[in-house]
Amino acid sequence: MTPPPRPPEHAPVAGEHSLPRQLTGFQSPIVWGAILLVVIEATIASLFVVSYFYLRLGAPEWPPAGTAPPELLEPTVAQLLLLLSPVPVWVALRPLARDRAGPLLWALPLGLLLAFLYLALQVRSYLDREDLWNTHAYGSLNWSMGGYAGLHVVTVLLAGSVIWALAKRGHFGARRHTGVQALLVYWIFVAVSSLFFYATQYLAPRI
Amino acid sequence: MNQRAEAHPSHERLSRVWDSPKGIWGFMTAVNHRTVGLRFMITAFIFFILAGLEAVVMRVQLALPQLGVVSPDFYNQTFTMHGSTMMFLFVVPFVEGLAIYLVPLMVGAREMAFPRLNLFGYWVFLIAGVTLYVAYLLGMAPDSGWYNYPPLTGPGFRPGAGIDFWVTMITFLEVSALVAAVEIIVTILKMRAPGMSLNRMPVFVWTMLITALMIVIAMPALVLTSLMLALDRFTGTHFFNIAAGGDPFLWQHLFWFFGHPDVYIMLLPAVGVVSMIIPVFAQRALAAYTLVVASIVIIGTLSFGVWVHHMYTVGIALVGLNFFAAASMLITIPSAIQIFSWISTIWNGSLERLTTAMLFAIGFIALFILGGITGIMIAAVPFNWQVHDTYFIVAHFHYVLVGGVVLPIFASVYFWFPKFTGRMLNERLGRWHFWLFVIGFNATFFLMHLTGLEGMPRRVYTYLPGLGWDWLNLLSTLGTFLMAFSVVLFLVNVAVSWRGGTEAGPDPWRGGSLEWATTSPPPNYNFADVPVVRGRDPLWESAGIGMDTRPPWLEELSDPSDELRESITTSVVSADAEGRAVLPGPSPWPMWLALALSVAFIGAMWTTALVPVGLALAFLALLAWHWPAGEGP
Ligand code: HEM
Ligand SMILES: [Cu+2]
Repeated sequence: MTPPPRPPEHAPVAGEHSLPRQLTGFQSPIVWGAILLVVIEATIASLFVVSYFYLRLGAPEWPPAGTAPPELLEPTVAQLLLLLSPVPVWVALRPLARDRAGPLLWALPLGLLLAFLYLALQVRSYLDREDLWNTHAYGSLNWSMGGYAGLHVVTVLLAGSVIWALAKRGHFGARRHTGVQALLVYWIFVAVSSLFFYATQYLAPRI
Repeated sequence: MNQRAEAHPSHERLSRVWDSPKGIWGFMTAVNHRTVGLRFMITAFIFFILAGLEAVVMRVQLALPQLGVVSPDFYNQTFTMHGSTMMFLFVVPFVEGLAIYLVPLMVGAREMAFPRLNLFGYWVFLIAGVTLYVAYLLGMAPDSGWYNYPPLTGPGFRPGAGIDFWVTMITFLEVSALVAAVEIIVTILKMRAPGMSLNRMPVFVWTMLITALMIVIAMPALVLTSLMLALDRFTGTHFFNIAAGGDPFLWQHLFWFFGHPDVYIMLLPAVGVVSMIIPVFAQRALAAYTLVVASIVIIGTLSFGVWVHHMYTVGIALVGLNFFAAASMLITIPSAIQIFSWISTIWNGSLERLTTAMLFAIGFIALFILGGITGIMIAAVPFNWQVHDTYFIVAHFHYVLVGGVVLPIFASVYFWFPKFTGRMLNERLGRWHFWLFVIGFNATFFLMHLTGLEGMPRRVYTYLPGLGWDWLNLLSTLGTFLMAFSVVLFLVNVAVSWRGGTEAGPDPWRGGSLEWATTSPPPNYNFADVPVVRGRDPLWESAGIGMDTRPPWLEELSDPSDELRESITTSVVSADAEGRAVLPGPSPWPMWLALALSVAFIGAMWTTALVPVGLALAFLALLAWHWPAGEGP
C-alpha cells in the first residue's frame, strides 16, 4: 500500500508480566461507567435548575402571590445529613483497599441511616407544603425537583443495601471493590446535586 | 495475521467460551456485540422502510391539488410518525448498531465494556418502537410534528392518547440511546488494543467517541423536557402552561438544546464512515488526520451553542439572534476542513476504484455541500423569516439528512456487508441503486426549494390548484417513486447476496484498520491473539501490527482455560496494557429489566400508579441481573 512505513513513535506494550483481572479506580471500566452515569444525571439536574430560573425570570412574582417562601430549618438539617452520608463509606474504602472489610460493614449502615433521615425529613416537610404541584409552575418545579432528588436517595438506599448484603457475605476485599467505588461515585453525586437543588429551592426564593 | 481463524490453536476453546445460545432463547439472551449490533441495524432499517412508506403516502396525497387519498388527521399522524421514526427510530439506532458492531473490531477488542447493557438497550429500543407503531395502527399516533411543541401538545389542546405515546416512548427510547452511548465511550477509552494511542484511532472511532459524548450531554435535555410534558399531561403540573406560571418556550429551548446537537449526532458518524471509505478506495491515507479529528471535536462543541437558530421567529431580541447566527455560520469552517481533507485524499490518491461504497461516499460530499449551502442561507435571520415553515426548510433538512446521513449509511452497508456476512454485495445492482436514488432524491427535494420559495407551507395535507405549486409537487412525487424503487433494488441485493454473493475473504477492499485483520464474518471472539498496534493504518504498514515476542499476558488472553470471557483493557491516552476485563455472558435479565421499565412507561398513560410498580419490578430485575457477582453493570 502507498503510505510508507512509519517507525513506531511509542513502544506500545506494558512489560513482560501478566495482567491483573481485578481493576480499580480509573483502570476499571465499571468506574468509568459510573462516572458517565453521573454526567448524564448531572446534565439533567443542571437543566432542571436552569428551567427553574428560566420560569422564574418570566414571572412577575416569585414565589407567586400568596405563597410564602419555603420553610428553611428542616430542609437545611436534612441537606446537611445527606451531605455527610457518603463520608463513612469513603472512610471505609481505604481499609478495604488494604483488605480490611470490617469498617465497611458498619460504615455502610451508618451512611444509609443518614440518607434515610434526609428522606424522612424531606417527606415531612413536603407534606406540610401549601403549594402543590398542580397549583402553579412554582409548585410544579418544587415538587418535581424534590421528587427527583428523593428518587435518587431511594436508589442509593436500595443499591447500598444490596452492597451491604454482599459485603456481609465477604464479597469485597482488596482485590475486589469496584462495586463499592461505583456506589460511592454515585452517592457523592446524589449528595452534591441535591445541594444545588436545595440552594435553588430554599435559598434563592429569599433573595 | 490474515490467517483463517480455525488455524489458531485456541480456536475451539475460545469459540466455546464466546458461544451464544441459539433460537428464541438466544434472541432473548445473547449479548455478543456483533449479534446485538446487527440486530440494532436490521431493526432500525425496518423502521426506515416504514418511515419511507409513510413518505410515499404523503407524496401521493400531495401529488395533485385537493386529493383525498388520506384524511387530514391521518396526514398529521403520518408526517409526525415519519419525522419521529426517521430521527429517533432509524438514524440514531442504526448508527449505534454500526458502532456496536464495528468499534470493538476496529479497536481490536473482543467485546464491548458492558455487554448486557447493550442487550438491554436493544430491548428498550424494540419495545418503544413497536409501541409507537401499534399506536399508529390503532389510529392513535402522535400528530403534532416531530418536535411536539406545547401548548398544542399540552393537556388542554391535545387530550387523548397520541401525544401520550410520544412523550412516554420518546423518553423511553432515549434511555436506549444513552445506554449505548455510555457503552461506546467506555469501550473506546478503556478497551483499545495495546499501542492504539488516541492519535492512532481510526476516524470512525473518533467520530463515535464524540458522538457518544454528545448524546450523553444532549439527550438528557430531551429526557427532562418530555418528562415535564408527561407530568403536565398526567399529573396536572404547569411547566408549559402560561396561565399558571409556565412557559411553552421552555420546551423550545430544551428541545433544541437537544435537537441541534442531534443533527450532528447523526452527521458525525457519517463523517467517520466516509473518512474510512475514501482512503481505502483512493489508496492513500486520509489527508490531514489531525485536522479532521480536531474539526470533529470543534463541531461537537460548537453545536451546543446554536440551538436558537430554530427559534428565530418566536420573538427573541435581535442582539441574541445575531450571536446565534454568527455561531451557526462558524460551523461551516470545521465542516469545510473535512470536505477539503476528503477531496485532497482523492486528489492525491486515485479514483480508479469507483465501487458502490465509494460512489455513495462521493455522492454524500456533493449533496452535503448543497445542504450546507442552504443551511448558511437559513442561518441568516431575515432570509429565515421569509422561508420559515415552508417547503424550503423541508428541502434543506432532507439534503442534510438524506444526503448527509442516509447516503453514508448505504455506503457503510456496501463497505462492511462483506465483514458482516462474508459475502460481497452485487456491484451492478449497487450502481443502479445509487444512481436511481440520487436522481430520485434530487427530483423530489431540489424542486422543494422552489415550492418553498413559491410559498407552500409545510405540514399541510393539501393545497389549491393554480398557486404555481402543481407541477413541482407532481415531479416531487415521481422522484419519490424512483427513490422507493431503488431501495427495493437494495433490499433484493441484500437478500440475494447474503446467501449467494461471492465470497469476500477477510479483507476484500485491502483496508487499513483492524476489522479487516480477522475473518469475515469474524469468529465470535473476534481476535484470538490480542492485536498489538504500531501505526495509524496498521494493515498498511510493514510491521504495523503484532510484536516480536509473546509476553505472558498475550498467552493468558488467547488461552481461555478458565472458561471466562476476557478482553484486554488499556490506558486511556496511550493504550498501554493494564489488565484483563472479565465480561459477562448471555442473560435473560436485560430483557426483563426492559419489560419492567415498560410497565412504568407504558403504564403511565393509563394510571401513574403503575410507575412505582414498574420501578419496583425494575429493581428486582436489576438485583437478579447483578447477583451474585454484584460488580455493577
Ligand atoms: C427518502 C425519502 C424521503 C421522503 C420522500 C421524505 C418526504 C418527506 C415529506 C414530504 C415531508 C414533509 C411533510 C409535511 O411537511 O407535510 C417530510 C418531513 C420530514 N422528514 Fe422526510 N422524507 C424522506 C426521508 C427522510 C429522512 C431520511 C429523514 C431523517 C433522517 C427525514 C426526516 C424528516 C423530518 C424530521 C420531517 C419533518 C416532520 C415534521 O414536520 O414534523 N425524512 N419528509
Ligand atoms: Cu440547528
